[in-house]
Amino acid sequence: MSKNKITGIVIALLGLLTALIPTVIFKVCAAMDGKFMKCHWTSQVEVALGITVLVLGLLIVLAKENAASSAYAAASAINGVLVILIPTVVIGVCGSADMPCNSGTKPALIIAGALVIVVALINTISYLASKKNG
Amino acid sequence: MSGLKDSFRFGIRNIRKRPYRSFCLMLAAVIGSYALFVGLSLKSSLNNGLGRMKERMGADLMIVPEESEIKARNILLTGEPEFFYMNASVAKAAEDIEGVESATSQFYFTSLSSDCCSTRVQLIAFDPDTDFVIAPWIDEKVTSGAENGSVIIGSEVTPLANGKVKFFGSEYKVAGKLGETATGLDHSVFMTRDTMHDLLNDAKDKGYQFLNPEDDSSWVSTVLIRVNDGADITNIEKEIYKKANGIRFIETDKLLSDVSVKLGSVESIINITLTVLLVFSFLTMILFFSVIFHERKKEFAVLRILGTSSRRICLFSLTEGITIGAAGGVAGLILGVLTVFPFNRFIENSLDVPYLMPAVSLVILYGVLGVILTTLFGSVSSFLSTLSLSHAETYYTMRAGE
Amino acid sequence: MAFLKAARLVKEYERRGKSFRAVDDIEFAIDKGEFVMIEGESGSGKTTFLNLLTGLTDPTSGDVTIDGKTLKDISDKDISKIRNEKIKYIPQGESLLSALTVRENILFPFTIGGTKRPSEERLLEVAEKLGITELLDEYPSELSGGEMRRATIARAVINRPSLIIADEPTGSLDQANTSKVMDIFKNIAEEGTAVIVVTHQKETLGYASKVYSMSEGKLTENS
Repeated sequence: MSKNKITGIVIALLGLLTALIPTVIFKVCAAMDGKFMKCHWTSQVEVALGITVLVLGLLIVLAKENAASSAYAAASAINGVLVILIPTVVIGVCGSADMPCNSGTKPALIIAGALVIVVALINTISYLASKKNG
Repeated sequence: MSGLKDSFRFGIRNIRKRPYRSFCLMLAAVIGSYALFVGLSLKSSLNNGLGRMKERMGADLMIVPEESEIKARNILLTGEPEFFYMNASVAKAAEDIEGVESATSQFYFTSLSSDCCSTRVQLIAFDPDTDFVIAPWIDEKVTSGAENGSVIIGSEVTPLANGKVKFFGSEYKVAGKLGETATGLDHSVFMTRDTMHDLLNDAKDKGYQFLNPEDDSSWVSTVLIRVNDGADITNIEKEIYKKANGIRFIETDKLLSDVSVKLGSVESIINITLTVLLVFSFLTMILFFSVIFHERKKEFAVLRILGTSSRRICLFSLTEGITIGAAGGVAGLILGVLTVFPFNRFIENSLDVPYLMPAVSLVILYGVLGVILTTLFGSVSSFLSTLSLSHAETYYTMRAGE
Repeated sequence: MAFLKAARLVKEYERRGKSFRAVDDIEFAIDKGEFVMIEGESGSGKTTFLNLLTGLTDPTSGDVTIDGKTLKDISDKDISKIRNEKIKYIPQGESLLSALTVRENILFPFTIGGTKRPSEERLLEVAEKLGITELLDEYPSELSGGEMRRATIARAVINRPSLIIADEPTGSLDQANTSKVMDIFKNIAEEGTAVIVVTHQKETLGYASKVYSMSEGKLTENS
């Protein structure tokens, strides 16, 4: 299997994981007294980001040229950064450290995002390095 | 002698040339090291939690209202917010009894959950004059102690960004923070009865009434008792029963032994899982290496023909085993660290028993142990697979299959 | 004294409870520069005989003496050293290491022995002679059967060993390749290396200075 296939599949799976974390694996709370909490909005955005990463991963696998694959990989790395920033900086999760979104969802998303970044950068950097060496 | 370096390089080449096989082997090592690291960390967190709980349970005996034993246990063990009340006269009943060293009363109520993104918190009012359970464990003193208008928070309560905590619409200064107790008290907020009075008024304004703030001083939730060394607790209970009605006792020793039992069952689940996974990891590696060995008989025969001594072939094989075991061990450790640390609070809340991470040095030790163990698995299984090499006939395999 | 000498060499195997002699009381000797060929049906014990000569298998009785050293008296390490430096054995079939490139395969014996590597000129000279110059950086899986065979021969001849033993080296080769390979062995023998080639192709026997026949474990010299 080529490097693009492996990294693409791994990135696609991580994208799927990102979408599943706030909805299935570490489910955030439902609305309380009819009001949605921060974790709900974080969850919505993460699902969208996860699907984007999933699609980018598949594009990495399917792309005919290495340059295109590595560009998709770079794009998924940026998405990986967003996966981390959404629950920590941009939207955040609920205040209490004991709430499931804070003790489960947030760390899981951070790890998933970090893995997306690492795998995507491996792809991009190895492409750039191979280009440099001819 | 460059022999070691060369066999290392040759081993690495073999690993890289067969990625699928090496991946499966490494996966077995990952599982072994992950299981050992997470298993030992959990076990030691549980024991640490129980130990800390024993150490920090200041009282020997708790008086609670009838039918509130379960609620009281919840407060102590899990920090699940509860409230219940009995007449303050019970506190008096506990004084002046032979064997009682000190007694202090506490008052339980809770915050609201409808504040956006905050859970209900156990609120506890205590009496600084007689208290012997809270004050000893104040770790960080922000101000001079539990003054009126400020509160002391448990170790796992997170204040607002401005460093204050907010209840029923009013903010309160944090005067201090308790050290970790591995009990429900870590999730509680403590205050004097005067501060409590203010809070209860605020709560009443918001439409929540625990008790009428006008006569809150005539109610308590619990009376905590410390007995003299060697005092007969059963006898003390009898004496108190004579003076007060509608009460029950929670004995700390009994509570702790119940926790121990529960912890024991969690621990045995961990032990069984850990053993199964380690055996699985080791057997998989042995199996894989011996299958590989049979596949590679021809390769070993070539090595023999080219003048490799059997010791050297063992060394090649061992290099592969050690490299795979160590690399898988490190990967498993990284996964373990990514489980134990970020999800610390999640695990704690799921297990429902006292849980407290041990010292970092101990956790590092577990990690090192895990890597050493899988490296050992790798070297032993690769070595076992080459044992048959000592019979010279085994090399004579070039003919077969050609 | 001959470079390699086998005296009263016997190898017995058990098969279905009955013992039989794969190698039956063989006397054999070869000197440097000699080109010996051994012909025989498959199953006549040729490969077992070669394994005994190279110390890969221990004889049931009898001795093999190489360069004055009797194999049964020296350690595995020392026999390995002899195989590494003095005797090059080209076994039947493929014997390249799949994890290494052709170049690394050719140089691998020096890695094992910790001995001085031949110069790049020598490597290229041998590769040129065998027509594998273009293949040096390929992996064995990318080579054809004939190319693999030539790479194996390159590995054997590169350090001008005292003895080369080849088991069916032309087994799967066509006419042109067969004579190419046999020419190489003849050249090496002329340069002073002792060469033993086992074959069942009678048409190649003309290259040898001495021809033996093997049948049911017995070795006889053809006159």
